[in-house]
Amino acid sequence: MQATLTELQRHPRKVMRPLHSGKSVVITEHGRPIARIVPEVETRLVSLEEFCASEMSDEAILKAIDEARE
Amino acid sequence: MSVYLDTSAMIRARKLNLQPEGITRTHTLAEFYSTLTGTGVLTMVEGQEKKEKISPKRAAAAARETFSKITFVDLTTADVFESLERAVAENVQGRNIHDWLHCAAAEKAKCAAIVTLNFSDFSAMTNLPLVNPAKQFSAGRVA
Repeated sequence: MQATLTELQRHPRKVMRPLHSGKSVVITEHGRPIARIVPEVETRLVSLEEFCASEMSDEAILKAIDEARE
Repeated sequence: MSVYLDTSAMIRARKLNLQPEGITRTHTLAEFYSTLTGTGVLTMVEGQEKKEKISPKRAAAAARETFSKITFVDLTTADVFESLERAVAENVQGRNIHDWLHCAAAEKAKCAAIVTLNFSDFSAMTNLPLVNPAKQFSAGRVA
């Protein structure tokens, strides 16, 4: 999803709406991307048993490793 | 010949409650701990995306248990300098250096294959065969 800086200033709720379905929004100014707004995902502290029982895709594990390297 | 297990393979092993045999380097312990206690791993809870992490105490205990049958083969300082020079030639950049060094350790240990979830990055970095953890760990094939 993409929106201009002007659209963000005038209609912030409308521009942010895709975040509720997990999509990010790229903000542009004069046709150039200047920022990306990404949805915040809640992090829960769980027991090892819960962690092991949860469905986690290969992609999710790789992304978490990447984030841990930042 | 043994296999090399990277961080993603060891996290899969943890989730399956396995203590695989094989080779890795000491740095994998840090990545394992860092991933389990960091920003969390994405999952679905009652139809909603959530991230889950575990406490440092649990992560340290999980590392000790999960890596209990692992043999560690580490790179020396000279090995790392040499790997960095080869990384320059291959234009390896940013955080990809971590995977590059996993490959270097696997080659140093003369492993038969690398067990990883990350086929897309590793396939460009090594000629060693890549094996998905699900295949490696299936039917009790943990070594």
